[in-house]
Amino acid sequence: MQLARVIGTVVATVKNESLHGRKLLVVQTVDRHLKETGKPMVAVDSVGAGVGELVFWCRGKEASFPFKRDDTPTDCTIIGIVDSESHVTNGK
Amino acid sequence: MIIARILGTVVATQKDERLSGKKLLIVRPINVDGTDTTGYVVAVDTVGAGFHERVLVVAGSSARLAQGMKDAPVDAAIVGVIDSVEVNGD
Amino acid sequence: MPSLAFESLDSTEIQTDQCHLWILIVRVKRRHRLKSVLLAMILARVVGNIVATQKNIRYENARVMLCQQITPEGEDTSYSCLALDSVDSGVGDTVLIVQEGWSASTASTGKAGAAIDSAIIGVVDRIDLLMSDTLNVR
Repeated sequence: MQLARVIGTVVATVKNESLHGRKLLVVQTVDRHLKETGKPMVAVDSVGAGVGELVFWCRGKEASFPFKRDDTPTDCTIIGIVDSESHVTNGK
Repeated sequence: MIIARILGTVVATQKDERLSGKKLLIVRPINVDGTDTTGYVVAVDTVGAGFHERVLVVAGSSARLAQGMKDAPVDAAIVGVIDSVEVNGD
Repeated sequence: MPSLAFESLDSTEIQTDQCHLWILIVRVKRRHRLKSVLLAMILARVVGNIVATQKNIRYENARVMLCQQITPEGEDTSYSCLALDSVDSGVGDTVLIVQEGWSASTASTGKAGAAIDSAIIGVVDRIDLLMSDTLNVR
């Protein structure tokens, strides 16, 4: 699981049937200092996140578990919204 | 599966109960010529490997298929002690 | 393309761009290996936790900890990740993180099938390294 910032949305009319009704968001992974790290990628939303929010996502096979029938073809799913940046405590 | 060399041990008292009694070793993946790569993993020992030995490490969910690892939360297990590696007939 | 490059390795004249290709292949392979190493059990230091009211239902009552991977010697690496706590760890603890779905899910929620890919499964008391002094991490 990694922290990420939602930086955009993806609209796709033609997509796999099991992705119908799913919101696709562009996320930029951030490190523990909330600094951008790595390349942006597309994630399926399971919690109702919006652009600009700090979220966390799950990778791999487990990413499809929040959805019905476990057959949503995704390997990156947003599974939580961080309440605010001040809620990311960073032991110093 | 990767070839690795044992770097050290990890001692943890407070751990998932399914891990109790299991030996945790720090291993560093090595190349076939015996040189070190970077990085390390913590692996559960299933064969009684010791220091200075080259071992075979299986990673991912297959680690749970190793002997004695059934239903244990592990994703890297030492499944063999390597006697020798032969590459290109050397 | 790789097979072409492979044949030309036997000849003495190797085109420079083919050399580049080989270097590229080796680099890609190396990156893959490093990635696979990265996604096994690792040692990390708990540096914080995050609060999320709106989250997947299976995360109820779970503590999401912010962790920084460390080397066996105790130095920080560049990799940090989030992991669900299953052993009551706290900020500053050195912990063992499992990064495989089934293990992480059963350890932190007691059941398989949750969207959880990493969990803290142990608090490390001591790391003994070969050919160096014992490191006390607590």
